[in-house]
Amino acid sequence: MVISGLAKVSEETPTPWLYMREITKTFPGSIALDSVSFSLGKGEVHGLVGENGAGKSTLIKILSGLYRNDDGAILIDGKEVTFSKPSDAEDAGIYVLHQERQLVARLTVAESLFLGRNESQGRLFSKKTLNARSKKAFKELLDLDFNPNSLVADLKPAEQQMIQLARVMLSDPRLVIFDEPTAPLNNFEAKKLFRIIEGLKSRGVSVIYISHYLQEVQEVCGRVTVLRNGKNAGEMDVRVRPLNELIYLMIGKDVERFKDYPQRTPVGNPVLGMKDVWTEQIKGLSFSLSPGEILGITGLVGSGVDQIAEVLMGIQKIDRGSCFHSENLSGGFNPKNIINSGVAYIPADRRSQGAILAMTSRENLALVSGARLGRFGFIRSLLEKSETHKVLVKLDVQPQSLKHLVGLLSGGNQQKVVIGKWLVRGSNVIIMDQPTVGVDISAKAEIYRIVEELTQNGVAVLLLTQDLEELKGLSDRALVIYRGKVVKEFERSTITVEQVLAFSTGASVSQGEGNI
Amino acid sequence: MMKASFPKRSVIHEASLRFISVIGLFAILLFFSFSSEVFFTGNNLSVIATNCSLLLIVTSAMTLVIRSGGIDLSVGTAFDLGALVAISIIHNGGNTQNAIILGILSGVVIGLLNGFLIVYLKISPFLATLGTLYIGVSVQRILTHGGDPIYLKPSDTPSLFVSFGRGQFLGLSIPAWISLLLFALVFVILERLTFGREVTAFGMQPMAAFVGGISVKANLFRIYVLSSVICATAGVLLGARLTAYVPLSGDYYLLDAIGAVFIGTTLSNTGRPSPMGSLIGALIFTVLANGMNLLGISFYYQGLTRGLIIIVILGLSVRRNRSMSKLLVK
Amino acid sequence: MSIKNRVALMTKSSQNKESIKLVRLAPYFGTLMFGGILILFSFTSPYFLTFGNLSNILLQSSIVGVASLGMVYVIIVGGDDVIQGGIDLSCAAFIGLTATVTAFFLSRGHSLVISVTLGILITVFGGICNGIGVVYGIRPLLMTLGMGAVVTSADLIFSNNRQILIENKFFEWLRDATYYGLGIAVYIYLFTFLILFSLFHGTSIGIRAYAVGGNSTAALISGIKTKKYIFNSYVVSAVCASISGILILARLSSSTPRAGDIILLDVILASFMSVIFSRRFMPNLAGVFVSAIFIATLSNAFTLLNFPSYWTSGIKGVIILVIVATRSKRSWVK
Repeated sequence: MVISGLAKVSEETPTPWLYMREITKTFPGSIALDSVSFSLGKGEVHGLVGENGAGKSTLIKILSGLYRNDDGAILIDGKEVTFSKPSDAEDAGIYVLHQERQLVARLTVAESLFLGRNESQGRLFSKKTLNARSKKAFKELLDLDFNPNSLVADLKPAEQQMIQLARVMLSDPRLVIFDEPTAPLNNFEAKKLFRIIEGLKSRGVSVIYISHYLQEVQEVCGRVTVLRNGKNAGEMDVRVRPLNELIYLMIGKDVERFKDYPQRTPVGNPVLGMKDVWTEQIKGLSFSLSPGEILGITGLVGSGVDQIAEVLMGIQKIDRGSCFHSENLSGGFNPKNIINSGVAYIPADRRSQGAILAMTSRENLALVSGARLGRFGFIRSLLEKSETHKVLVKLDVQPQSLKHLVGLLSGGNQQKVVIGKWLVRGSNVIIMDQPTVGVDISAKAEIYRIVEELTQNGVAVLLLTQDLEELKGLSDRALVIYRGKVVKEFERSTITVEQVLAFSTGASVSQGEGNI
Repeated sequence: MMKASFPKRSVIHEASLRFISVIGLFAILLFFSFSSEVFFTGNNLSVIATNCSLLLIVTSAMTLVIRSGGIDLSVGTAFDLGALVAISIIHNGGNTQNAIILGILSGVVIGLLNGFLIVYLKISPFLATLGTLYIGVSVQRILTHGGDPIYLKPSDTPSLFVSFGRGQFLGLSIPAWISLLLFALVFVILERLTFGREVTAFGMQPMAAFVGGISVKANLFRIYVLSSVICATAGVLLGARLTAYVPLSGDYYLLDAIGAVFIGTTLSNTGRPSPMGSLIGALIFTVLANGMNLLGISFYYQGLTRGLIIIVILGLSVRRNRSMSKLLVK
Repeated sequence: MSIKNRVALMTKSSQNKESIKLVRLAPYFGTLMFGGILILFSFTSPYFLTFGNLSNILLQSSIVGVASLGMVYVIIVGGDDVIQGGIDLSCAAFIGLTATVTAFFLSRGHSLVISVTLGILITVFGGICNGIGVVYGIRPLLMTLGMGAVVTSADLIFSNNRQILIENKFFEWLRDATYYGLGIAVYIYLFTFLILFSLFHGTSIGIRAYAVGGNSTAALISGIKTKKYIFNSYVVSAVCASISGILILARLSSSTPRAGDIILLDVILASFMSVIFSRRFMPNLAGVFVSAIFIATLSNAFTLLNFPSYWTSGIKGVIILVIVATRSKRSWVK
């Protein structure tokens, strides 16, 4: 039976047709899911929430046939099923709307809708028929109007999402899983999406809705399952329980990973910052960072936090406003000049932007220090080897060899190399974007140690993260961004994870700050 | 703790896949040594070195460019321009030094053009250098009024110039020495200079390089200018050798250079173009041609062997690429 | 970093909106340019717009045109990033080989049907090899490069590096006959184009081909057999090249070794030029059809103007550069 948490299950819940029983999944070095159970009724909109790394995406991957569970069972209509590939799950009527692009940019809406379907194979058709059919399909399935001739590439993310949904609907699904659907949407588009989900519900299609936007979860879902650290943390019906109970289930007990130290006072003038910056996602953001302090910034995906680093590094264009450090730059506002002025950048996408995977640890570590470690453009091997080795040891990178290809290292060690290259260079401002994603616990501890050490030596650190424990443990000051603006600033002494979560999900905006 | 999970293959199997090109070269050398008495003589080896020289030079240039993530189809254009300038200078009574130096430097023009197209107009290297190729063909025809070669009268040609193309030094021809020199230059650039490392990084993951502060524009310009200058040198050498300028002779080396560089990528443990690998590739083609010549096999069969070698060597390395794919970023 | 992709997509669509002004003109850009140049040329010479001349242009364009139809299909399915994507560099060699093999058997007294069939079959076999190699994992640039070298060899071996003259009624008919003032080659070009076009746009093949070339993972997920499409594209390209070979054999009444070499660049040019005739700036069949004619028009106009032919190549180069530079600003640096 369903494991219940603190709340009683609402009377309305229909009998489950889908039951995931004590699902367990392990990867080398970690347990992703530990005996997680989950049930779903016909026409039910069931929320799935939990922090990053709680296991939501693993659970969904198992349900959609991408992974195999190591233990436990999936039962459909009472019978046990095994999915060895995604098409098995699709045959059972289970479809996922992924975040990744499943569409071909160069096709039109009409072409994308029916792409690959057997009925269209080999038969003669005309463009007019195709367009007419697709218009009809959109109207029937989702009650939407679309210009069938528009190119997918020209559509907004909300519209592309609708095409993916329509494709799924053509296959008459039993279950549609929405994975963070509203992140790129604005309010209006999100409301449209909710209406469509209501429509699905009334047709008897079940929905699993995964989101960090707890307000929306409350608006759309009935029962919500909460995962924490790979286990069931509880289940509740958000139509009848308040959100703060949900938040409590998500967070659980605080694990002390950080040393307690008093707030550091910054020394000197701000070295980095924004003045009323506007971009597509950022709506008037201002902040400043000074040497010797760690400024943490958090917000949901799509709140604008993802663009902050790229704006500061000159990669993302600004519509209005400016960045402080652009004033003292010699030359254009681009990564090269910014880095030369002493800024280090650790990008969120480690594998494609942080490190060069097909190069060795030594090459990666020395990559930004050419001027310092070379002479007349030549690489000074001995000097380079000793300097990079020093950093390798300091960060405890395993294996401790300069010759290994970084692409083959574990996530944690890769990230250490990414950070390490700036240590070799000696920067005085560091921008870290989601620095510990996919990094194991012990590597995280190492990284935190280094960051604190650096700050003590006067380095200024900007920490962009969605790991709220991390935010709380490291920051001297913390900013919460919601829909492109700062909605709350915390001092070190006043940060609590619940408050941060409340502000970043917009929960506190409507409930008022007094409730939490 | 290593997360790597290579398919379980024996070390020997793994190594032999990686050194397939070297093994291939050795096999070819062995085969010809046994089939022809003349093959392994000092004289013939010297001939091989000379025959290989121009291809090696163009291949070295191509190695630079492909390593930076692009390609240069206009190598023939720079080649021909170098020859044209050098021969024209001598033809008009100029001295050897000017001819050689200006011939080499004429490559800068082509390189700058390519750089401009690629960096400022953001045209992909294939199409940009294709365009340069087309334009270069026209320019050559126009300058020579229809594509006639320019011949130098022996009496009018300074002997210094001739010896540049035909002279010998310690048993190897001057062109062979120059090719080794240029090869060494490319080797040093790619393996020993910071610039080379930055270019390599850019060729693998342009975004990561950009975000890590590597200057994209300046580096790309340098690479394309270097490539064209190196090819122009080869053109000057050919001109000196033939004491004539024959239009459009540079294109001959284009496809072989590309093939040689890609054969060379099989040598690197990460599949990147490598100077040593390119050398092996260029040698393979040259030795094949030389050996087949000695055995009296008609040149018709050269394409056959060349093509098969490319296909076989690359085909064998496909399996290695699959296990390396986790190092590739889409 | 899936959300990052979505964000990137967001910024891309807004960038597209900036270039909307250019893009709105896009489908007309190519036709406008073509029409404009035709008008320009008609002023320069009184012979230009005569039926005889226009028919000549069409005739000239047919050899390059047919081969380009095959080439563009390879590029569509393989993706237009040339280093990784689809291209068939063996096209030129295939043209020469078909001509040579056909001439070879004809000159030895074999029947027309057998000779032509053998000529085409051997090229198709080459295309199959290309398809296998590429699907196996060898980059198209290199596979077709290697294949091209092999096929050129075969061409030389068959022909002994000599021209093979043929005297055959069919080929004479192919060369000389005209219906309604247009040579047979033109009809063959048109016919090939119409067949390919109706297969491509009249069935789901076209859409799927674009899908495979645009995002092969998405295509695979949608249930399209991407490997089949990629394999087939090389066979189609070989068939088209072999037809070109027959046409060139007829035109010259002989096979010349390496006849296809000069043609390769024009084929590539026509294939890439086709994008200007497409709303989506993608290579396409109709665009190729027109581009090949355009290229022939250029050469023709130069001849009429007594322009030295040396300029043709340079102009072609400039055209390619201008076209590519005006495509919507997408840096090739990802």
